[in-house]
Amino acid sequence: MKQNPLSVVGLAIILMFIGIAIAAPVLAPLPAVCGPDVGIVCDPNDPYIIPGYGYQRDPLPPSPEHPFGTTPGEPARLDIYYGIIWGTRNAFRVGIVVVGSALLIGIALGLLAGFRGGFLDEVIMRIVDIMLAFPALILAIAFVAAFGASLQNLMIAVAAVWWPSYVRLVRGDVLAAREQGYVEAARAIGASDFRIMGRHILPNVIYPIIILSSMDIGAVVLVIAALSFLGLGVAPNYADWGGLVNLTRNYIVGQVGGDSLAYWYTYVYPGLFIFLFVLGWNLLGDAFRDILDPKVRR
Amino acid sequence: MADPVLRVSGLKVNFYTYDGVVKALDGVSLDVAPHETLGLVGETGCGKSVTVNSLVKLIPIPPGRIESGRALLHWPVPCPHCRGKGCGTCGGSGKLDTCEACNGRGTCSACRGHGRFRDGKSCARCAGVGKCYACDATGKRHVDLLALSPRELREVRGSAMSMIFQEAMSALNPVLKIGEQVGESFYYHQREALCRATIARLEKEIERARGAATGAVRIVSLRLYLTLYRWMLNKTESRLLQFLRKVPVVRRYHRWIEKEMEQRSLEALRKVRIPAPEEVLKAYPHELSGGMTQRVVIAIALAGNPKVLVADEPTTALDVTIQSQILRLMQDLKAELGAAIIFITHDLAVIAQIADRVAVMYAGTIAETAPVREIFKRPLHPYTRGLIGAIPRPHQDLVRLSEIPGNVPNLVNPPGGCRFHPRCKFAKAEVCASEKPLLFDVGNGHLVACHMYDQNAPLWTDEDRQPRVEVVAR
Amino acid sequence: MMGEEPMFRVEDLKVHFPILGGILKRPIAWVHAVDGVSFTIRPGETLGIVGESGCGKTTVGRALLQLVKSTGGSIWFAPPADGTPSAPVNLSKIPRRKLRRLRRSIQIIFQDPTSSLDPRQLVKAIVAEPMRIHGLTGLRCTKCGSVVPIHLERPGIACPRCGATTEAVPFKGAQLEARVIELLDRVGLNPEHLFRYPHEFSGGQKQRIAITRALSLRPAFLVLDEPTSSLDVSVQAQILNLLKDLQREYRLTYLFISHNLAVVRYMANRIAVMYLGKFIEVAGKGELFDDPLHPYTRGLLETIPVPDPERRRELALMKGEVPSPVSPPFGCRFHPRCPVAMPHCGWEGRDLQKVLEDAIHEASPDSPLSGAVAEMQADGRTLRIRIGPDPERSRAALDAFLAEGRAVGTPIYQAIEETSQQGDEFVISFRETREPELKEVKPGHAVACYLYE
Repeated sequence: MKQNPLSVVGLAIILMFIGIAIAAPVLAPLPAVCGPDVGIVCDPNDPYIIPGYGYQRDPLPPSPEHPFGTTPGEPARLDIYYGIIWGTRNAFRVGIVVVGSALLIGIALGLLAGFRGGFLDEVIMRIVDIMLAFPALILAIAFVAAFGASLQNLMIAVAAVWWPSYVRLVRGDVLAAREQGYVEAARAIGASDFRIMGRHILPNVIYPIIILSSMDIGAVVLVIAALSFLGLGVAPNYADWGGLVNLTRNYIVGQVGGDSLAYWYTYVYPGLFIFLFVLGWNLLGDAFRDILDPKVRR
Repeated sequence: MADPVLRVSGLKVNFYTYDGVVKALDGVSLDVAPHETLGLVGETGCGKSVTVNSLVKLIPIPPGRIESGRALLHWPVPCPHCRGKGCGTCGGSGKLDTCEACNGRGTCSACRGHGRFRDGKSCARCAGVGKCYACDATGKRHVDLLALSPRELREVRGSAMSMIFQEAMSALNPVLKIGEQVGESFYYHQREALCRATIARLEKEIERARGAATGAVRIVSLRLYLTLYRWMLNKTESRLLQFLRKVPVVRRYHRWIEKEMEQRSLEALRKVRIPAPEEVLKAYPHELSGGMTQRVVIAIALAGNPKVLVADEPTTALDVTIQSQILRLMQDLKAELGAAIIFITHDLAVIAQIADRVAVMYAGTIAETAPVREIFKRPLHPYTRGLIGAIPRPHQDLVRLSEIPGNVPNLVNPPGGCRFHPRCKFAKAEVCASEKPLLFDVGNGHLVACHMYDQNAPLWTDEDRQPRVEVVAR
Repeated sequence: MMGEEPMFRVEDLKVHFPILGGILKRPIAWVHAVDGVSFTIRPGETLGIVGESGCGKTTVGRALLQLVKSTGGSIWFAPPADGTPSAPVNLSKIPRRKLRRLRRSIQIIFQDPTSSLDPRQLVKAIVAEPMRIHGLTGLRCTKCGSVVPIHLERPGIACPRCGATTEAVPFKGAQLEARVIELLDRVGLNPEHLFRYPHEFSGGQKQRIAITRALSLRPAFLVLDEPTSSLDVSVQAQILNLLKDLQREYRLTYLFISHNLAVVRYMANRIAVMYLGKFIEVAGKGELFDDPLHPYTRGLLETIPVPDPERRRELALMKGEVPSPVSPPFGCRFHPRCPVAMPHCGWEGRDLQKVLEDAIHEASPDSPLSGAVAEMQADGRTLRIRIGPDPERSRAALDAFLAEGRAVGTPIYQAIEETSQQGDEFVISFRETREPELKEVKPGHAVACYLYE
């Protein structure tokens, strides 16, 4: 592992994010009092609602109370720093849940299709083909349009378009593993099909998928951020990185006649965190590959 | 041996891997006499392939490294003055066969054969022995394969020394026709002869064209080709000529030499007894059976008229009946071509059939070398004895096969002293664990690397040294 | 030891693999890997099957275990006597669940030990897996609870320590591990090997692990499919000796498959020689080597290299190569390569086509034969020849060719039934033939060859 310094970097990044996520209540605590009299709009029970600090048309630059600045305030300007810290938790949640469910479905169907073959294989693969024929983004948008814009629905939509490629991958590896001598040997000692699939085929095909899926966590976060940016996901004051950038959509290139980089803090901070998160998972995926794939070593 | 065509001495090869240093070869010494078949026998991992691959630098150099050793190949070259026709320099033979270092005298050029200088200091180049280092006192022209530059090595590979491998199918390019591949071999190794033949052809064609009053264009183009070929004869590696092969109209000149290549390829295929060679020339490798592809590979290997043909397990992947056909083919070809063959295998039965002399390898060392009948009748090295006793025999009803206890050692940490001593029934700790045995000569061309056969070995009885092989038959 | 009731009785076993083609992937041809093979195996004996690659011997082994579905014939297996006699079952017809249970009694060792072990399983798991699947391992005393060691295990035995009755129990945990250690010890492996992966072992050791796995359930019968072909000579000796010892100790019955006649001679009591899906000779081992009857067997014995330079001879050659099992030769399958073939051995269109092709190839351009033939099409017992440009001359050339062959006495020409001319086609048809059957010619020695009919 120490051979590849980048993988250590990846691990460090992810660990840092985990730390941030765990320490969120400490790093960005909810304000003690909420309510119109203090001018803060927040929900004491739901820390994911970013506190709003009163109306302000334009975003405010970083200041001691708002280290990363604030978004434009309609109805109330939101603390970007708070949004980013709590958004970390959401990033993990989104990434792991979506990829996790896609993995589960993908591996299960891939194993069945590859090992059993025949009619079941044909049916599964046709469904996969149909799903892959749809442009993922459009499908996600359609789903959200039909069922309403919320992070939940967004996650379901993305998971639904993610699993077909896993099925293809797993099935391919299963087809190869099926021909191996030890599978025939397992049959010879009397193992049932399920036992063979679970104990012999699965451990031998799972590593490429694990590597891919760890990188996918970053990719999923990016997709969801993009969709949130388009306004499909979360409520405006929900702590989500993409959502934050969405709020400052109008200010990204500055105001008319003004300095185009004036409001850099509205997209640089969330963007930086998204970038680092995805980078961390990619490097970690590479590290996994170096550890787990014996063919690549040496 | 008096005049070996190939003499390998003290070849040490290590592989520097992630798991440690694999001491693959620990001072391998071999002699190959001209026209003989040397059977190189050993089990998996003993280093037989590494040995021959090192000779032509086919081993991956990192992580491999040839630590020391020499491999002298007797290689007379065509006389550069007369280009093989015969002149004063080469004494009419057309070949230059004198050692450049000692000018044919066989004595060390530094110390004039005395071994030491006027002031008494021992000559470093010949280690005080006085023999010419470069030709090993034979006076004939040798090259040290391990010291050649890449360009020189390319000349040797395929022409002086040719190799054929176990999987014939993977030695052939699947997208090229057989004819192209065999022809290519001739193109690289017999360029001069091909040129001469093409020139002769062209001259004949020009005569004929003139007589038949064909168009001037044709005669002009033929003349042009003739010039090009004369040029090729002089400068075989001419870049301009290679470039001209790409120029649209001019490149037709190459067709003439290709016709010659095709002729020779056909002959080569006939020599390896391939039926319907014209059709085989146009076929692709996957259309042929295992036995046929191995014959094609042999034809390619023989195109350069090698002095040494190395066959690395060529019949292991073939059926028994095909194996016999290929072995018989190799025997017949050897008689015709006069090449020496190094035949590598782990199958002692095959060795018994085709080898003249046998070298048994164990864990990177040569354990025993002897003429084939000697080694089967009087195996001296305990490993050889065990090996011969372990072969099941088709014509004998055996009660039990003799076993060699233990396993082949890990070459990252090989046993000290004699590498076989942990498994040896006769091992005596005092000497076998600490000193590496040299190849002791016991007469009859029989060399054994075992302390038991050291002249001054008091630790063993004559009974021990008796070459008894435990073959228990009913 | 050699019981009377055979353990296996195989009748007319056939295994045909379909070659699928076309858009609908229908079978367009069949590979006749095993094409009607019958034999018996008695308890305690080793039957050897020997043949070149592609003859179907490996498929026979796998078909016995139904790892490959047989397409015809029956495989009667009489489970070994453990006190209660049981009726033989037809392995090719029983339901999958029952078959899985019978797998305890029939096991197989594969050729390549590396691929037959799961690279991601520890040795302990590999060896214990059969026991885990079938949920049983050994005998335990009902009174003192001690486990009967393997080498003393007999069904219904009394506890060696206290004499009480024993019962068969599944082992778990520490007991299972102890049993695995016991089993590995028998083949020469140590307890620390339990926690290693297969790739950390040499070929011979891996094969020992595979043998241990197969024996963990105390099967009665073991198929050994070229178990030492990928191993070195000295390791082969170790493994073969081990197998022989195990057979004696555990009273096993073996089916030993190999292409190496010497190895089969060492291991087997009776040997069957297989060619292109059929047994062509079956005999006791001494008998087969002393008096080989079938020309193929003789050819094999003469062709194999012998590890004795004194017996060095002109390596005899067997003509041709093994034909494809998709459409085997008619009549006796060996006839195209047989040095002593006779007219009724099964000559057919393809054989004459080859002969004519060779002849035309050799013929000089001005001989009448060249140009006589435009195209040839072998169709079962007939050969259709589309005659070349000059029909008179061509017909004459062909007639002369056939007559010459007949005069010389070459058997193929004598097998021709009739020749006729239909338009521009010259049709030669051969006599009808059957395949020779495997018949017992001497006591205990059966051959399928017309030389002996």
